[in-house]
Amino acid sequence: MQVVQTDIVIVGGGGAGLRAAIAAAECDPKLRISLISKVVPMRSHTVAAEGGSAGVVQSCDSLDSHFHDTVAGGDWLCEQPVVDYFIASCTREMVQLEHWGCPWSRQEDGSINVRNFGGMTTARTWFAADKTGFHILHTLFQTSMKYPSIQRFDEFFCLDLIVDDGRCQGIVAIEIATGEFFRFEAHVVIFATGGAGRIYPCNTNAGISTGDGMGIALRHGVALRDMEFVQYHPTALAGSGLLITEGCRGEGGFLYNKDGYRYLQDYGLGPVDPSPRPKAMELGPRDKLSQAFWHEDRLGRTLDTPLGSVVHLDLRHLGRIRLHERLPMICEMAETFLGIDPAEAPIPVRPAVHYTMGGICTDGNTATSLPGFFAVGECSSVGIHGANRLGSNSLAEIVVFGKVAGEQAAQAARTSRGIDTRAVAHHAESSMEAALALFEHDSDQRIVDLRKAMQAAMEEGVGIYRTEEGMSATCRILDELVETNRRVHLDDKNRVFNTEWLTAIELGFTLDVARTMAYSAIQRKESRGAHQRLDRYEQRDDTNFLKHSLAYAVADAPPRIEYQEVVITKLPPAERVYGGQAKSQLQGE
Amino acid sequence: MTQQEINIEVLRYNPEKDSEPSYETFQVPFSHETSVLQGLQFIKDQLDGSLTFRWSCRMEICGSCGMMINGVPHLTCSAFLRDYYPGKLRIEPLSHLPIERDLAVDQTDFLQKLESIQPYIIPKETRSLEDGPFKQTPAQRERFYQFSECINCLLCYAACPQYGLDSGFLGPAAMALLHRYNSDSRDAGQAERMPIVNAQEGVWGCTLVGYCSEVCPKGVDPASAVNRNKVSSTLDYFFRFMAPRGASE
Amino acid sequence: MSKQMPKRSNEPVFWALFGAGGVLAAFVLPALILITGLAGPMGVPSADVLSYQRVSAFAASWPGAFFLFLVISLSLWHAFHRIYHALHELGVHRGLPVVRVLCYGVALAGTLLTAFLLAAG
Repeated sequence: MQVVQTDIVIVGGGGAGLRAAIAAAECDPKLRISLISKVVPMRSHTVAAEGGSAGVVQSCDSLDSHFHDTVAGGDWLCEQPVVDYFIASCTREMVQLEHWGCPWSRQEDGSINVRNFGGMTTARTWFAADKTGFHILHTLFQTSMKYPSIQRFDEFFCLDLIVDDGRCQGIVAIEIATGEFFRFEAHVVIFATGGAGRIYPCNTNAGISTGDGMGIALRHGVALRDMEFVQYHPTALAGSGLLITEGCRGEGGFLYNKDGYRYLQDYGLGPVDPSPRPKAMELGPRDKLSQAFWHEDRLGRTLDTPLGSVVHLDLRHLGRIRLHERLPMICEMAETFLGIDPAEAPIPVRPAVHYTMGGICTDGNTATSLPGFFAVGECSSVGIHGANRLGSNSLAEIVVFGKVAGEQAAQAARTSRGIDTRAVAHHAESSMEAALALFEHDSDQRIVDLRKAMQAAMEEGVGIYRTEEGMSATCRILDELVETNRRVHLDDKNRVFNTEWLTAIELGFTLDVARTMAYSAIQRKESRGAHQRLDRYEQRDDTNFLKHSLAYAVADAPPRIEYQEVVITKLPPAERVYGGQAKSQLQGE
Repeated sequence: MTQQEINIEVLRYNPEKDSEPSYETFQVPFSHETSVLQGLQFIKDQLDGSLTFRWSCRMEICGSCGMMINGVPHLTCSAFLRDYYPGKLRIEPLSHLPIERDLAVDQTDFLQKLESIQPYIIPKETRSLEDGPFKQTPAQRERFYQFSECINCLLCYAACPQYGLDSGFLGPAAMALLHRYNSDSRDAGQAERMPIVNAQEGVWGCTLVGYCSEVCPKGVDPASAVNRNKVSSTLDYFFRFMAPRGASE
Repeated sequence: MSKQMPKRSNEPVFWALFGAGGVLAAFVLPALILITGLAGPMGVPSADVLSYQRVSAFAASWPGAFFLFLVISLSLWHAFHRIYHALHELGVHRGLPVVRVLCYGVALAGTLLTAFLLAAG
């Protein structure tokens, strides 16, 4: 096993990991920073974010308004002091990206342009056409090359954390190209490993979003918080789940059912206006829109296609010129994957799993309960998204908290109590043996069959709407799959670039994370945000469940679920109001 | 959905076992929307788990899944099996790049070249965050924007015959990104990047074949970036003695 | 590549000559072909436009000689630069000095010869 001695290990080369690396390097140029990623950083899933990133910039807007939208959007399951910090820092980070070269779309006078987004009171979403995540990622990746203290380990697969003496002291990784094991000895480890959308069959996520970091953290006794809250994005392509940005609706797109009726007006989101009204109709929050689709589908008002039922996202009235200026990638995708010109025909869309609101539980400084171990970005739950994330808050999150994580890690590295090399080596050996054991046992179980069984069970039991019966069936299936996965079959017994082996390891993480979702869900006996039940618990229950769930791993058993109080400082729980009433409520404040 | 079958011939090479690459053919069912990538995923899931290739986003933006399809560089997520039927497909790793295993190529050379061009804003003026964003009009943004759309998929390196002959050549994507920063109104790093442009391995390795621009899945025009810099390099060559160093534009 | 300063290429000299020859080949040569290849032989506008005396006098004048020198030499530089790079594309590597010397040598020899003949004439 090769050994790398370093100060800070950052796992994940997406927006959060890169921002953390840059922040740490700027804090102290003498720190040795190792950036480990299972893909070359510019392939990370940040690349696929489209619509934009939030930051209050208009004179008519206010931090309080963004705060209100975020907390209400999250159905009050947000850590309000953390949201407060987040909102106050967004714009500064957007400006930082601008100084680093991010090609934000501009107004005629050269100032920043912003667009409307779902659940937001006014336009505050900074955008770079409809490739915002792509541009943020490439800007951060290319800027990171300025800092000689950031050493990249591209295509290294993080296998495990090394924990000794009650604190994190490094990680074990596999160099994909050679199959060799590496032990990174570090004072601090930051996980920025992204989400876990691949748990579901139809999702907008990249193949790499398998919840690795969450799975690893869970195994070391760190809690996964609010895992039952899984976001369905209302507009994705049927079958593939490819994302059609909320920016389409921000620019004024309409959603129609099969009767050509803007059905969202039936779900408390009206009135119907010809031009976009913030927080109403198509600019409602994602949970409400996906739930409305579910009802339309049940009522037989969606359109049938060979790939599943859909509704129509109509952009025709925006005109070709505006579409090509504001939504060029959507036009390209519609052409490539559907053979459709959005200026001529509506785009068939349906909800698909998009985002894990929950994740590795951290405090407002991205620190976990394990000393020396930080988590940031989609893999973490820093507390800003609650039960439903607003669009354009996640790109802002990765840079705002990426910076925090980098700075906190730099500080923690200075005060570290040192590394116990012998103990670390011992832990690394046992992680390596566990990974190599996958080559030893055998069965006729193919990875794909396990994955598909997991995905089907999750969609069936822990989808947009949930019942006790469905969720307990899913829990049972997942428990069996976890057992079966221990003996999964590998065709490929080689070490060099063995992606089948890595997929098997990923599936182990994914299944553990799926279990935290299902078990957290079944125990939340209320409906809130993205967690909606149809069995007696259709209402929000603040008396019993204005609480975060915490899922802990238990050896050879399903996860244990505990609860944590939500910190509410400014905005007491109230009803979520969208549609026409939202405006009057705002004026009443 | 009607299911048809197509033959996919893929290049196999495992450095642990094989002395040279060989080809293997798989029969793959497909429907109208099956991409070439999904065809490869079917092989890996159902027929042979050892087939090795990269993929991630499935939507033409991460740049992972570039391969040669019947000799042409293409992203496999946005190529469709229906378009090759009833013929067959031959899938090979991107040309001109060393094979790591099967269809996965070594990307290190490009990453080093990217780093060498200083792909970040070298600011004209120090500006604090409190000063807010730079002003940049849509017209100023337009001057560099298309070059910033490069997804680093390396199709242009597989297309470039000059890179194939001499991998010292900086190549299309790195040159496009160099031009992207040079043409950004916020940047003042052109003089610092000029030595790379002026080198034989810089713009002068290009003979304007233009295939790089043809295969780019994002409509970037690296050939134009290279040739605009031939002009700036020539001006720099002849006028370097007339202006103080760093002032040549 | 990132560490030491890469060596400046002398290619701009040849590329400038190639470029100038290219402009010439695009704009002047078609006109010349039209005059000397079609119009002249067909007697347009008159039969003696391309007579020996007139052409010789043209070549003997300073502006005429300069014009012919540019046309001939730059076309040569343009052609041999392209041939040199085409050879490279065919796998005859530019690392071989002999190919380079041969190609640009012909262009240079042609240039000198043209200058000598025009000056001597």
